[in-house]
Amino acid sequence: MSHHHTDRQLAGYHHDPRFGRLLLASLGVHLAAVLLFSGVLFPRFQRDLRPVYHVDLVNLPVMNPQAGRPDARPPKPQAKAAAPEPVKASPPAPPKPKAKPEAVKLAKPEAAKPAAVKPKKPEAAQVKASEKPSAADEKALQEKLRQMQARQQIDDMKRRLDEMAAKDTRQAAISGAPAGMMDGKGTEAGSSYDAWLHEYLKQAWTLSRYQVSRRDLKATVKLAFDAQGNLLDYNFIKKSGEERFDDSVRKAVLQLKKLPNPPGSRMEKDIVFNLKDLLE
Amino acid sequence: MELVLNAGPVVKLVLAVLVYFSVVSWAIIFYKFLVIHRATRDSGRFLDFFWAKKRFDTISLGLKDYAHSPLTVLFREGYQELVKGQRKREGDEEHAHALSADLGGSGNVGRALRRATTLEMHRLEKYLTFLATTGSTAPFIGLFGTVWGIMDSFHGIGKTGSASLAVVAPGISEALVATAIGLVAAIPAVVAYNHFVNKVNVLTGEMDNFCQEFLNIVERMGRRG
Repeated sequence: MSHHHTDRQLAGYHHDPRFGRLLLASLGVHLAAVLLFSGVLFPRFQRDLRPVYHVDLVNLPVMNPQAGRPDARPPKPQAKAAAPEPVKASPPAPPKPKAKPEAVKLAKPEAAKPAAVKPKKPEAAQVKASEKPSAADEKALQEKLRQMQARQQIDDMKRRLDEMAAKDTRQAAISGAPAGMMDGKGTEAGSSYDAWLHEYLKQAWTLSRYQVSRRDLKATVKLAFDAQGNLLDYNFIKKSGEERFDDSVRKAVLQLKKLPNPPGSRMEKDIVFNLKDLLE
Repeated sequence: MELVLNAGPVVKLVLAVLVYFSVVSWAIIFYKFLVIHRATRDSGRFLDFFWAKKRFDTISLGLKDYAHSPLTVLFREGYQELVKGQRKREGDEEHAHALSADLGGSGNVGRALRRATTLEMHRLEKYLTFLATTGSTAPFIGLFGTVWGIMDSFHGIGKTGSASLAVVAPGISEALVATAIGLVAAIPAVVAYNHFVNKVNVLTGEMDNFCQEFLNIVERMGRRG
């Protein structure tokens, strides 16, 4: 047996030097894969799972923060809180500008001072004078009264504002419902008609899934309101084709009489009734 | 990554084994791809060259261009055996019996070709068994790690007495990593193994055919000579 046969035979079972290099290459590929997938090289986007609190800065504080919510519940009566009715019922007194009492102070400091600080001085003057002092006295008294009334009014307004703000947060905390609406605009809660309509109609609309044959039903209705927010007219832009479904939509729409806030001009809204939304 | 770092020692060991399997099997995949691809390419070119040239001595001079082909090795072995036989016959012509010499010659050449074929097949199939092993065992090793990890987490639940998702989920999640890595190691290994075995079978068929052709030529030469 010659040598070269043995050499070749053994060579078949020896490690090829190339294999060692490829082993290192493989190790490199694995390291790269680990770096790639572990987020070391490219930090992966992680969903933020912290709760998000929506604060409506537009609609707070308002007189009745739940006016725009179809599911508004009457606020629970509170022992300490002043009842909201008197506040609402009493016509707001014409607010006298704060400048007035200040102006009084500036205009008649002598008259105000003796009235407030030294009441005996004018009396001494009254003894000497016959009629004039009494007139001046009356004047000073009236001035004082006016000042007191103005202060009273300012205090009243402050108290009322505080009460409204307090009532607001307390009610929201009690009912568990957010005060106002997410996309509300203006000064009154519920001025977002789309959101309000969506909520209202969703609550008014009832249909069992067993009453219809398919689940992918849709209908579009155009609603027309006048300037006061009354429902003038409705008509189907697109019917679903299922009698029962369209009937249920009609029933829901007819329950809607008036918007919570007058829109101020004639308004039209297209509402899409989607069965999937209802069955969610 | 933190899943791996937080895992228990057994799961970590399992993961290390699986990573070893994966690294080696990918190295083998690269290596076999190179070897078999070159062998297939050079075999085709060598066969064209072989049929184009009519003479063995001319062919034997151009072998180095087809170094990666197993057919080249076969030809070299066969040709060397043939040359040895001819030298032997020329050395003691008075004892030579033409037929027996021919048969002996082709018999020797045939044996040399068979041996070379076996060696080349071994060379082509080298390391493929590791791919087969990885493909068949890596999922089970991963599964073992997973089962162990889940056992651990249930043990923890038993100790703490709370079965909330927050307690159960992390342990099970860590444990499942082992199965995932096992599958990641096994799937390429199985695919590559099937692919390479098929390629080696094709090359083996080519080698067998070449041996037959080579022996036919040798016998025809013997009859003419």
